[in-house]
Amino acid sequence: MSLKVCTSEFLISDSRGLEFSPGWLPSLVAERMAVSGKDGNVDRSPDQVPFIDSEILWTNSGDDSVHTMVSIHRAPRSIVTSTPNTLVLDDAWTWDIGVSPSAPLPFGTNSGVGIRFQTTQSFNPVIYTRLFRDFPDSVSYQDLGEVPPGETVHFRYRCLFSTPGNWRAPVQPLLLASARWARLRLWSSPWITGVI
Amino acid sequence: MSYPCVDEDDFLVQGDGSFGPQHYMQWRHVATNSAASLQNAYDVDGGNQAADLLQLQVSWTNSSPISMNVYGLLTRGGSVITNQPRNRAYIETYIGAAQGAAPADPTASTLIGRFGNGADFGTVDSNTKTVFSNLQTRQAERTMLAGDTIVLPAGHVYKLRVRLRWDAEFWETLPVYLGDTESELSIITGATRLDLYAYPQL
Repeated sequence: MSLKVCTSEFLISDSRGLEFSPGWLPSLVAERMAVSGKDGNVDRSPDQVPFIDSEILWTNSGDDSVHTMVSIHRAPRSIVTSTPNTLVLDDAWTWDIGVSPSAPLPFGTNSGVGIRFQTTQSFNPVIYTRLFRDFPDSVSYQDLGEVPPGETVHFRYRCLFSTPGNWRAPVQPLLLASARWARLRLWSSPWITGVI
Repeated sequence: MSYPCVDEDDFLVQGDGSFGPQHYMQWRHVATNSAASLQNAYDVDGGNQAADLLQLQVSWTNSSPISMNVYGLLTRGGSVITNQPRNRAYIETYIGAAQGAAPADPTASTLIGRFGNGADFGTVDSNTKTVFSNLQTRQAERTMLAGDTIVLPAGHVYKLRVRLRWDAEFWETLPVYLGDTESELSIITGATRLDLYAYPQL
Protein backbone atom coordinates (compact mmCIF):
# COMPACT_ATOMS: atom_id res chain seq x y z
CA MET A 1 0.00 0.00 0.00
CA SER A 2 1.50 3.27 -1.14
CA LEU A 3 0.72 6.81 -0.18
CA LYS A 4 -0.71 8.70 -3.16
CA VAL A 5 0.44 12.24 -3.74
CA CYS A 6 -0.75 14.88 -6.20
CA THR A 7 1.51 15.01 -9.26
CA SER A 8 1.73 17.26 -12.29
CA GLU A 9 3.27 16.29 -15.62
CA PHE A 10 6.06 13.70 -15.85
CA LEU A 11 5.36 12.15 -12.43
CA ILE A 12 2.94 9.31 -11.70
CA SER A 13 1.59 8.37 -8.31
CA ASP A 14 -0.52 5.24 -8.34
CA SER A 15 -0.97 1.96 -6.49
CA ARG A 16 2.61 0.99 -7.37
CA GLY A 17 4.03 4.14 -5.83
CA LEU A 18 5.60 7.33 -7.08
CA GLU A 19 7.50 7.12 -10.38
CA PHE A 20 8.47 9.03 -13.47
CA SER A 21 6.14 8.84 -16.43
CA PRO A 22 7.57 7.06 -19.50
CA GLY A 23 7.70 10.39 -21.33
CA TRP A 24 10.30 11.71 -18.90
CA LEU A 25 12.90 9.20 -19.92
CA PRO A 26 15.10 10.02 -22.92
CA SER A 27 14.97 6.95 -25.12
CA LEU A 28 15.66 5.33 -28.45
CA VAL A 29 12.20 5.04 -29.99
CA ALA A 30 12.86 3.76 -33.52
CA GLU A 31 15.75 2.25 -35.42
CA ARG A 32 16.36 1.24 -39.00
CA MET A 33 19.23 -0.63 -40.61
CA ALA A 34 19.45 -0.29 -44.39
CA VAL A 35 21.90 -1.91 -46.77
CA SER A 36 23.13 -0.80 -50.17
CA GLY A 37 21.58 -2.62 -53.12
CA LYS A 38 24.10 -1.60 -55.77
CA ASP A 39 27.64 -1.96 -54.38
CA GLY A 40 30.26 -2.99 -56.94
CA ASN A 41 31.07 -1.95 -60.50
CA VAL A 42 29.72 1.42 -61.55
CA ASP A 43 29.52 3.39 -64.75
CA ARG A 44 28.80 6.94 -65.89
CA SER A 45 25.77 8.31 -64.08
CA PRO A 46 25.07 12.02 -64.54
CA ASP A 47 21.82 11.62 -62.58
CA GLN A 48 21.90 10.43 -58.99
CA VAL A 49 21.19 6.74 -58.47
CA PRO A 50 20.06 5.61 -54.99
CA PHE A 51 22.30 2.95 -53.44
CA ILE A 52 20.48 3.13 -50.10
CA ASP A 53 16.89 4.35 -49.60
CA SER A 54 15.43 4.13 -46.11
CA GLU A 55 12.91 5.82 -43.87
CA ILE A 56 11.53 5.94 -40.35
CA LEU A 57 7.90 6.58 -39.41
CA TRP A 58 7.20 7.08 -35.72
CA THR A 59 4.11 8.36 -33.93
CA ASN A 60 4.23 10.05 -30.55
CA SER A 61 1.55 8.01 -28.76
CA GLY A 62 2.17 9.68 -25.40
CA ASP A 63 0.35 12.57 -23.79
CA ASP A 64 3.20 15.10 -23.95
CA SER A 65 5.30 16.69 -26.66
CA VAL A 66 8.74 15.20 -27.19
CA HIS A 67 12.01 16.54 -28.57
CA THR A 68 13.33 14.30 -31.36
CA MET A 69 16.74 13.86 -32.86
CA VAL A 70 18.05 11.41 -35.47
CA SER A 71 21.51 9.93 -35.64
CA ILE A 72 22.53 8.91 -39.14
CA HIS A 73 25.40 6.44 -39.02
CA ARG A 74 26.95 5.71 -42.40
CA ALA A 75 29.22 2.75 -43.00
CA PRO A 76 32.79 3.01 -44.20
CA ARG A 77 32.63 3.80 -47.91
CA SER A 78 35.04 2.78 -50.65
CA ILE A 79 35.55 4.23 -54.09
CA VAL A 80 37.96 3.33 -56.88
CA THR A 81 38.16 5.62 -59.89
CA SER A 82 40.19 5.91 -63.07
CA THR A 83 41.41 9.21 -64.47
CA PRO A 84 39.71 11.64 -65.06
CA ASN A 85 36.31 10.54 -63.81
CA THR A 86 34.64 11.78 -60.61
CA LEU A 87 32.75 9.23 -58.50
CA VAL A 88 30.57 10.48 -55.64
CA LEU A 89 28.36 8.91 -52.96
CA ASP A 90 26.22 11.75 -51.56
CA ASP A 91 24.14 11.59 -48.39
CA ALA A 92 20.74 13.27 -48.28
CA TRP A 93 17.94 13.33 -45.76
CA THR A 94 14.61 15.07 -45.23
CA TRP A 95 11.87 14.98 -42.63
CA ASP A 96 8.35 16.12 -41.95
CA ILE A 97 6.28 16.23 -38.75
CA GLY A 98 2.49 16.26 -38.69
CA VAL A 99 -0.69 14.23 -38.41
CA SER A 100 0.02 12.64 -41.80
CA PRO A 101 3.56 13.71 -42.71
CA SER A 102 5.25 13.15 -46.05
CA ALA A 103 8.94 14.04 -46.21
CA PRO A 104 10.11 15.06 -49.69
CA LEU A 105 12.39 12.78 -51.66
CA PRO A 106 15.94 13.51 -50.40
CA PHE A 107 18.39 14.99 -52.90
CA GLY A 108 21.74 16.57 -52.20
CA THR A 109 25.07 17.36 -53.78
CA ASN A 110 28.50 18.08 -52.29
CA SER A 111 27.32 16.28 -49.16
CA GLY A 112 29.15 12.98 -49.28
CA VAL A 113 32.37 11.19 -50.13
CA GLY A 114 34.02 11.18 -53.54
CA ILE A 115 37.23 11.34 -55.55
CA ARG A 116 38.61 12.53 -58.86
CA PHE A 117 42.15 12.28 -60.17
CA GLN A 118 42.73 13.90 -63.56
CA THR A 119 46.30 13.37 -64.71
CA THR A 120 46.17 14.76 -68.25
CA GLN A 121 44.53 17.75 -69.81
CA SER A 122 41.55 17.04 -72.08
CA PHE A 123 43.53 17.84 -75.25
CA ASN A 124 45.98 15.04 -74.42
CA PRO A 125 45.29 11.29 -74.40
CA VAL A 126 44.14 9.70 -71.16
CA ILE A 127 46.92 7.86 -69.34
CA TYR A 128 46.53 4.90 -67.05
CA THR A 129 45.78 6.16 -63.51
CA ARG A 130 43.75 4.57 -60.74
CA LEU A 131 42.94 6.14 -57.38
CA PHE A 132 41.77 4.05 -54.41
CA ARG A 133 40.16 5.67 -51.41
CA ASP A 134 38.44 4.28 -48.32
CA PHE A 135 36.50 6.61 -46.05
CA PRO A 136 35.86 5.94 -42.36
CA ASP A 137 32.33 5.67 -41.02
CA SER A 138 30.62 8.88 -39.99
CA VAL A 139 27.74 9.92 -37.79
CA SER A 140 25.55 12.99 -38.14
CA TYR A 141 23.13 14.17 -35.48
CA GLN A 142 20.11 15.97 -36.86
CA ASP A 143 17.66 17.73 -34.57
CA LEU A 144 14.09 17.33 -35.81
CA GLY A 145 12.43 19.40 -33.07
CA GLU A 146 9.09 18.99 -31.36
CA VAL A 147 6.67 16.15 -32.08
CA PRO A 148 3.33 16.95 -30.40
CA PRO A 149 1.25 14.09 -28.98
CA GLY A 150 -0.59 12.17 -31.70
CA GLU A 151 1.64 13.49 -34.46
CA THR A 152 4.07 11.47 -36.54
CA VAL A 153 7.60 12.12 -37.73
CA HIS A 154 8.61 10.89 -41.18
CA PHE A 155 12.37 10.79 -41.77
CA ARG A 156 13.97 9.71 -45.06
CA TYR A 157 17.59 8.98 -45.91
CA ARG A 158 19.17 8.19 -49.27
CA CYS A 159 22.74 7.48 -50.36
CA LEU A 160 23.06 8.68 -53.94
CA PHE A 161 25.71 7.71 -56.48
CA SER A 162 26.64 10.04 -59.33
CA THR A 163 29.53 11.03 -61.60
CA PRO A 164 29.54 14.85 -61.77
CA GLY A 165 31.63 16.74 -64.27
CA ASN A 166 33.40 15.60 -67.40
CA TRP A 167 33.73 11.93 -68.32
CA ARG A 168 36.24 10.18 -70.58
CA ALA A 169 36.74 6.51 -71.32
CA PRO A 170 39.67 5.52 -69.08
CA VAL A 171 42.60 3.31 -70.02
CA GLN A 172 41.87 -0.13 -68.50
CA PRO A 173 39.01 1.33 -66.43
CA LEU A 174 38.34 0.26 -62.87
CA LEU A 175 35.32 2.02 -61.38
CA LEU A 176 33.93 0.76 -58.07
CA ALA A 177 31.71 2.17 -55.34
CA SER A 178 30.56 0.64 -52.06
CA ALA A 179 28.11 2.38 -49.72
CA ARG A 180 27.56 -0.75 -47.58
CA TRP A 181 24.93 0.33 -45.05
CA ALA A 182 23.34 3.12 -43.04
CA ARG A 183 21.80 2.95 -39.60
CA LEU A 184 19.11 5.42 -38.58
CA ARG A 185 18.19 5.95 -34.96
CA LEU A 186 15.42 8.20 -33.66
CA TRP A 187 15.90 9.56 -30.14
CA SER A 188 13.22 11.11 -27.99
CA SER A 189 13.32 13.21 -24.82
CA PRO A 190 10.65 15.32 -23.13
CA TRP A 191 9.76 18.69 -24.66
CA ILE A 192 10.23 20.92 -21.62
CA THR A 193 10.98 24.55 -20.86
CA GLY A 194 14.37 25.55 -22.24
CA VAL A 195 14.50 22.93 -24.99
CA ILE A 196 14.99 24.26 -28.49
CA MET B 1 4.23 28.72 0.93
CA SER B 2 7.03 26.27 1.61
CA TYR B 3 7.15 22.50 1.32
CA PRO B 4 9.64 21.15 3.88
CA CYS B 5 9.57 17.61 2.44
CA VAL B 6 10.19 18.68 -1.18
CA ASP B 7 13.46 20.01 -2.60
CA GLU B 8 12.14 22.77 -4.81
CA ASP B 9 15.43 22.88 -6.70
CA ASP B 10 14.49 19.42 -7.95
CA PHE B 11 10.70 19.55 -8.03
CA LEU B 12 8.24 22.22 -9.05
CA VAL B 13 5.25 22.49 -6.75
CA GLN B 14 2.18 23.85 -8.52
CA GLY B 15 -0.38 26.18 -6.95
CA ASP B 16 -2.73 23.28 -6.33
CA GLY B 17 -0.08 21.42 -4.36
CA SER B 18 0.70 18.87 -7.08
CA PHE B 19 4.34 18.52 -8.06
CA GLY B 20 6.58 17.27 -10.83
CA PRO B 21 10.23 17.43 -11.87
CA GLN B 22 11.75 20.82 -12.60
CA HIS B 23 12.28 21.30 -16.34
CA TYR B 24 16.05 21.59 -15.93
CA MET B 25 16.29 18.17 -14.21
CA GLN B 26 16.61 16.63 -17.64
CA TRP B 27 18.97 16.30 -20.59
CA ARG B 28 18.16 19.22 -22.88
CA HIS B 29 19.20 20.65 -26.23
CA VAL B 30 19.64 24.27 -25.15
CA ALA B 31 21.40 26.26 -27.88
CA THR B 32 22.28 26.11 -31.55
CA ASN B 33 23.95 28.30 -34.16
CA SER B 34 24.97 27.63 -37.74
CA ALA B 35 26.85 29.10 -40.66
CA ALA B 36 26.19 28.43 -44.33
CA SER B 37 28.59 26.65 -46.66
CA LEU B 38 31.30 28.68 -48.39
CA GLN B 39 32.39 28.07 -51.97
CA ASN B 40 35.73 29.66 -52.85
CA ALA B 41 38.06 29.48 -55.83
CA TYR B 42 41.77 30.33 -55.59
CA ASP B 43 44.65 31.03 -57.95
CA VAL B 44 46.19 27.60 -58.69
CA ASP B 45 49.74 28.97 -58.78
CA GLY B 46 49.28 32.18 -56.83
CA GLY B 47 51.38 31.21 -53.83
CA ASN B 48 50.25 31.68 -50.25
CA GLN B 49 46.51 32.31 -50.01
CA ALA B 50 45.98 31.14 -46.42
CA ALA B 51 43.01 32.78 -44.70
CA ASP B 52 40.43 32.25 -42.00
CA LEU B 53 37.17 31.23 -43.65
CA LEU B 54 34.66 31.81 -40.90
CA GLN B 55 34.07 31.93 -37.17
CA LEU B 56 30.93 30.71 -35.46
CA GLN B 57 29.98 30.89 -31.79
CA VAL B 58 27.20 29.53 -29.64
CA SER B 59 26.55 30.53 -26.05
CA TRP B 60 24.17 29.55 -23.28
CA THR B 61 23.37 30.97 -19.86
CA ASN B 62 22.48 28.59 -17.04
CA SER B 63 19.34 30.25 -15.73
CA SER B 64 18.49 27.37 -13.40
CA PRO B 65 19.32 27.47 -9.66
CA ILE B 66 21.68 24.48 -9.83
CA SER B 67 24.89 23.64 -11.67
CA MET B 68 24.62 22.07 -15.11
CA ASN B 69 26.85 19.75 -17.08
CA VAL B 70 27.22 21.27 -20.54
CA TYR B 71 28.78 19.86 -23.69
CA GLY B 72 28.91 20.89 -27.33
CA LEU B 73 28.56 19.04 -30.61
CA LEU B 74 30.10 20.34 -33.81
CA THR B 75 28.54 19.25 -37.10
CA ARG B 76 30.67 19.89 -40.17
CA GLY B 77 28.87 19.60 -43.48
CA GLY B 78 30.08 17.76 -46.55
CA SER B 79 33.32 19.30 -47.85
CA VAL B 80 35.02 19.30 -51.24
CA ILE B 81 38.64 20.21 -52.07
CA THR B 82 39.76 20.35 -55.68
CA ASN B 83 43.49 20.81 -55.94
CA GLN B 84 46.09 21.58 -58.57
CA PRO B 85 49.58 20.17 -57.82
CA ARG B 86 51.85 20.77 -56.17
CA ASN B 87 49.60 22.53 -53.68
CA ARG B 88 49.25 20.64 -50.41
CA ALA B 89 46.15 22.34 -49.09
CA TYR B 90 43.56 21.74 -46.41
CA ILE B 91 40.63 23.11 -44.42
CA GLU B 92 41.37 23.17 -40.70
CA THR B 93 38.87 23.22 -37.84
CA TYR B 94 39.81 24.98 -34.60
CA ILE B 95 37.73 25.31 -31.45
CA GLY B 96 37.85 27.31 -28.25
CA ALA B 97 35.61 27.62 -25.19
CA ALA B 98 35.08 29.99 -22.26
CA GLN B 99 32.88 30.00 -19.20
CA GLY B 100 32.20 32.38 -16.33
CA ALA B 101 29.81 35.02 -15.07
CA ALA B 102 30.59 37.22 -18.08
CA PRO B 103 33.34 35.53 -20.11
CA ALA B 104 35.04 37.20 -23.06
CA ASP B 105 34.60 35.49 -26.42
CA PRO B 106 37.05 32.58 -26.60
CA THR B 107 39.82 32.25 -29.17
CA ALA B 108 39.40 29.17 -31.35
CA SER B 109 42.97 27.87 -31.29
CA THR B 110 42.72 24.10 -30.62
CA LEU B 111 43.07 22.10 -33.85
CA ILE B 112 40.50 19.29 -33.96
CA GLY B 113 40.03 18.66 -37.69
CA ARG B 114 41.88 18.83 -40.97
CA PHE B 115 40.64 17.82 -44.40
CA GLY B 116 42.85 18.19 -47.45
CA ASN B 117 44.87 16.60 -50.23
CA GLY B 118 47.78 17.03 -52.57
CA ALA B 119 49.56 15.34 -55.47
CA ASP B 120 53.01 16.05 -56.83
CA PHE B 121 54.20 15.02 -60.31
CA GLY B 122 57.26 17.22 -60.09
CA THR B 123 58.38 19.95 -62.45
CA VAL B 124 59.63 20.20 -66.03
CA ASP B 125 61.49 22.69 -68.23
CA SER B 126 64.38 23.09 -65.79
CA ASN B 127 62.03 23.48 -62.83
CA THR B 128 60.13 26.37 -64.40
CA LYS B 129 56.79 24.59 -64.92
CA THR B 130 54.69 22.29 -62.75
CA VAL B 131 53.20 19.12 -64.20
CA PHE B 132 49.43 19.12 -64.62
CA SER B 133 47.13 17.04 -62.47
CA ASN B 134 43.87 17.73 -60.72
CA LEU B 135 42.89 15.92 -57.54
CA GLN B 136 39.54 16.16 -55.81
CA THR B 137 38.47 14.55 -52.54
CA ARG B 138 35.14 14.85 -50.78
CA GLN B 139 34.32 14.28 -47.13
CA ALA B 140 30.86 13.50 -45.78
CA GLU B 141 29.09 15.42 -43.04
CA ARG B 142 30.00 14.40 -39.52
CA THR B 143 29.09 15.32 -35.95
CA MET B 144 31.77 15.30 -33.26
CA LEU B 145 32.16 16.28 -29.63
CA ALA B 146 33.70 19.74 -29.45
CA GLY B 147 35.52 20.63 -26.26
CA ASP B 148 35.06 19.30 -22.75
CA THR B 149 31.94 18.50 -20.80
CA ILE B 150 32.02 21.27 -18.22
CA VAL B 151 30.17 22.05 -15.00
CA LEU B 152 28.46 25.41 -15.33
CA PRO B 153 27.35 27.08 -12.07
CA ALA B 154 23.97 28.78 -11.85
CA GLY B 155 23.91 32.10 -13.66
CA HIS B 156 27.13 31.45 -15.56
CA VAL B 157 27.64 31.55 -19.33
CA TYR B 158 29.30 28.97 -21.60
CA LYS B 159 30.66 29.99 -24.98
CA LEU B 160 31.89 27.60 -27.64
CA ARG B 161 33.55 28.89 -30.79
CA VAL B 162 34.73 27.27 -34.02
CA ARG B 163 37.02 28.66 -36.70
CA LEU B 164 37.58 27.25 -40.18
CA ARG B 165 40.90 28.04 -41.81
CA TRP B 166 42.20 27.54 -45.34
CA ASP B 167 45.91 26.78 -45.30
CA ALA B 168 48.62 24.67 -46.93
CA GLU B 169 51.98 23.08 -46.29
CA PHE B 170 53.06 24.04 -49.79
CA TRP B 171 51.72 26.66 -52.19
CA GLU B 172 52.40 26.33 -55.91
CA THR B 173 53.99 29.32 -57.62
CA LEU B 174 55.16 27.82 -60.94
CA PRO B 175 52.92 28.03 -64.03
CA VAL B 176 51.26 24.81 -65.19
CA TYR B 177 52.93 23.00 -68.10
CA LEU B 178 50.73 23.33 -71.23
CA GLY B 179 48.54 25.94 -69.51
CA ASP B 180 46.25 26.13 -66.51
CA THR B 181 42.86 26.28 -68.23
CA GLU B 182 41.85 22.94 -66.68
CA SER B 183 43.53 23.50 -63.35
CA GLU B 184 41.45 24.29 -60.33
CA LEU B 185 42.09 25.15 -56.70
CA SER B 186 38.75 25.43 -54.95
CA ILE B 187 36.84 24.47 -51.84
CA ILE B 188 33.30 23.92 -50.69
CA THR B 189 33.28 23.98 -46.89
CA GLY B 190 29.81 22.64 -46.19
CA ALA B 191 27.60 24.11 -43.47
CA THR B 192 28.88 24.36 -39.90
CA ARG B 193 26.65 23.91 -36.85
CA LEU B 194 27.27 24.11 -33.11
CA ASP B 195 24.80 22.63 -30.60
CA LEU B 196 24.91 22.82 -26.81
CA TYR B 197 23.36 20.23 -24.51
CA ALA B 198 22.89 20.46 -20.76
CA TYR B 199 21.97 18.06 -18.00
CA PRO B 200 21.87 18.60 -14.22
CA GLN B 201 24.89 18.17 -11.98
CA LEU B 202 23.50 16.26 -8.99
